Amino acid sequence: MFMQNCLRSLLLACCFVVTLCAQANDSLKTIRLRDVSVRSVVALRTQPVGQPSVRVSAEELRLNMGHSLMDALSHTEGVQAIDIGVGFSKPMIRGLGFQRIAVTENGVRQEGQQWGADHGLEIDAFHVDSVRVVKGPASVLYGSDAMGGAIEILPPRFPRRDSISGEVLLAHERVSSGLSGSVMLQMKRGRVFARMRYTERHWADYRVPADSFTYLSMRLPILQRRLKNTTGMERSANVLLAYRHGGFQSRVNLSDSYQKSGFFSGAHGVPSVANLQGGGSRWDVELPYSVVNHLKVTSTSTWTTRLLQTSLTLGYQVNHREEWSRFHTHNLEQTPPETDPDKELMFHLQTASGQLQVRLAPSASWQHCWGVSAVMQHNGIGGYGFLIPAYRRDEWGAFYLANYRRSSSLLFNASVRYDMGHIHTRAHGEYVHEVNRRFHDYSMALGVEYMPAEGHQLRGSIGRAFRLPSANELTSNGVHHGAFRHELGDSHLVSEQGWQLDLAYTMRLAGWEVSLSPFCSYYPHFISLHPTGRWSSLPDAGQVYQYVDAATTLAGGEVRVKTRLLGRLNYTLSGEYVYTYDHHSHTATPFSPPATMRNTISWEDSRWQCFVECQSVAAQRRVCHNEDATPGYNLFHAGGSVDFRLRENRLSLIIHARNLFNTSYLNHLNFYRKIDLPEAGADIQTTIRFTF
Amino acid sequence: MKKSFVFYMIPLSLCLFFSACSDDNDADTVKPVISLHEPEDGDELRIGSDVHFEADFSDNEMLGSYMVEIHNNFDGHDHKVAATRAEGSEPFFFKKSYDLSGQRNAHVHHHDIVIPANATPGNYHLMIYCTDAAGNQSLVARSIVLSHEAEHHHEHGEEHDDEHHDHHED
Repeated sequence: MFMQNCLRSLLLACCFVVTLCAQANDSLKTIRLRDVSVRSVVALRTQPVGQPSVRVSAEELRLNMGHSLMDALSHTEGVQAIDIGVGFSKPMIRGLGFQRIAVTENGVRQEGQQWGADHGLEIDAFHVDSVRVVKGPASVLYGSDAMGGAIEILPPRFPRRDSISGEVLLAHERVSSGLSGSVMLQMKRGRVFARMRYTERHWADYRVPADSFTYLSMRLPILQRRLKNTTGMERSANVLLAYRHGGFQSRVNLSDSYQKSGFFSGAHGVPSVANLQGGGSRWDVELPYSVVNHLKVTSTSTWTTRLLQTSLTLGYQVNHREEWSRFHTHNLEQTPPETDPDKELMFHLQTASGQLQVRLAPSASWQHCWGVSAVMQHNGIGGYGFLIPAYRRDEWGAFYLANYRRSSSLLFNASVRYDMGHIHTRAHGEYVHEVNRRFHDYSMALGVEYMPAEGHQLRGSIGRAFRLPSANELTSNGVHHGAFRHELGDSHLVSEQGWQLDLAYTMRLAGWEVSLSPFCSYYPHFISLHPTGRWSSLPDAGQVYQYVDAATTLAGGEVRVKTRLLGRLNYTLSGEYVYTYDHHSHTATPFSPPATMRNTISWEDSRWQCFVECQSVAAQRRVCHNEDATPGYNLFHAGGSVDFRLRENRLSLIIHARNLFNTSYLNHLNFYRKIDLPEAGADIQTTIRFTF
Repeated sequence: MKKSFVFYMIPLSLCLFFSACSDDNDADTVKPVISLHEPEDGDELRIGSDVHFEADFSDNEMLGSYMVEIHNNFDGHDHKVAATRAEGSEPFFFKKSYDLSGQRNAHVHHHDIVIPANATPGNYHLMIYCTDAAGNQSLVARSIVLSHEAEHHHEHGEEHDDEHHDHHED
């Protein structure tokens, strides 16, 4: 950041420097220069100082791109991915996931069915340039739903020079016979910048190194070692238009992502040997399957003057999700509906959001930021099944943030935010009552950044965050297929609240890079599912699980060491650990990430890059009730990329081989862990990228 | 140089032992064990009579309760589904729970499940769930067939006495 400021200052200074008049004389003379004035726009930081965050670059994402964006991000220590079978992942940061992590794009929080267990993020992974991961409470900037952290997808930079450029990408993945293609075109001319991208992905049934899996204590077959009906396709389009003139900048972003994917027959409804049989191509999506379309329009406008910067962000999203499954019910009075008899669930979620921020920098030491935000959401439902009711949810918040630069080596931050929320759910049938609740809560953060000497940096922050209870936690009353159990909400739940303390120490000296970041957090109110011991009256369900408010503690940290071995050979060690404890049940929380360590040897050149990695995951025996312990494992990965330059164009070839030894292992953070489904076997991903 | 070598060996050796290390839980997270003796997988049960149910439940701390559920599996796309639903017949559905609290081991034997005469013949699922006092749950499932032609299960008498002798107490 400091270097960028210098560069900006220099560039602007060049505009103001008056041409020196040379004195054509070879004798020594005193030359008097005219006054030079240097103006620069101080980059106003909205990020609270001291906040634990990590920046993941586009190169890192491309090299680690697995099945999805979350798969690539899980390579970063402190970030985990909760998988739903193979190919879909939800984000988890330091042991917290689902509605506790905000994924934002262009400053707008992505709103899909985050609580759900059957799907991942509806974002085109190829569209993402770089990402900032906030590993601590980010409630001050994003309100509720950022209690555990945030994944910020950063917008592309406005190019400086007029240009036309683009990219064509082709990728192949062996484990799913998947083929992806993406085309991007961007143009900058004068004050206008436009970028368009279209991506299409198709994949067949996934390969696993197993011949059978467990369901209801029966061993069922996996024919030809491919998970039947895990095939699918995805189509995304993205258009960005930006305009810049003087101190005014505006961006409008329009995107649509469509996904259709089958559910593994063994994980949805009641499987039998019959519907696991072959028949049908491995490219056909059969019942049961899900279809989701995410449409998003966002606009950000910024007005910058010498001291003040005002920005207005507006967003509108529609997440339309349908789950289709052959009509099945054990309620003998229920008959299939006349239209769409096989549509089990439908959710139509519309979210409108807006945020106004004013940033003031009265001096080089002080920066202030005020903001107000509003989010209005409506969820409609349909289908013959029921999981959550239709609801309306509104949030309003106001925050203040101050960064104080005591010296070039000592910075402080203080921020506070107040939020009001309103959730109104509609009644459904005779078992789900109407719920109308209002909430209000505050969040705050105090941070410090200290550089005691050259190459050393210490960061610390303490933050308080909260999260409004979500519709499913308040009103659920049904069997959640993805989680294989009957879940019951509690309409009297209060918001989750908690405190987190973070420390981070980074050292960069003599070719070494060491960073240690421990944390600990305590939530006196934390909502999670607990078994009640009461039997469900619904068929195919065991005991009832209820959402309960239970105090929870989390602690752990990450470590990263990078050093140069010899020449261009580097060695990186990264590790993460999270300890979770639920004070109500005296067990760990569900999906407690196991301790993980990665040892990587990499080689880097201006054109070549390659690495070999050993990922070691410890056994996870700290489980909650009815969660299975998972044995540890070691996985070996390797990969590399090579660039060919053809005049101004560039052709890159990226190869990423995962699980080289085809190890059969179980992932603790997988919803399908319950059916003993092993993870994907050896996989090779090949990507060809042509940039012009 | 020596220091560097030792330093590099530490993480490499950690690698090997890492996947073995873990912590254990404080509370009871061990599931109860169900041993289902009767009915067996694939058994044919006679419509109009009761079902011989026999199972052993055990837990490391304390049992909670168990629940028996029988529901149809007609939509299993299995072409061996028995004769189409006869007029007036209804798919059989049974769900009942029984208390086991206060015991660490329990042997259960009853004929509580009665299949009515108008039950639709075909494939069914039999599921036995068991919870312990802490809330841990285990499950056993069997595929069964309901038909009119099934053999009568063995009468109470000598055969049952033999079975009682086989029980083992923990």
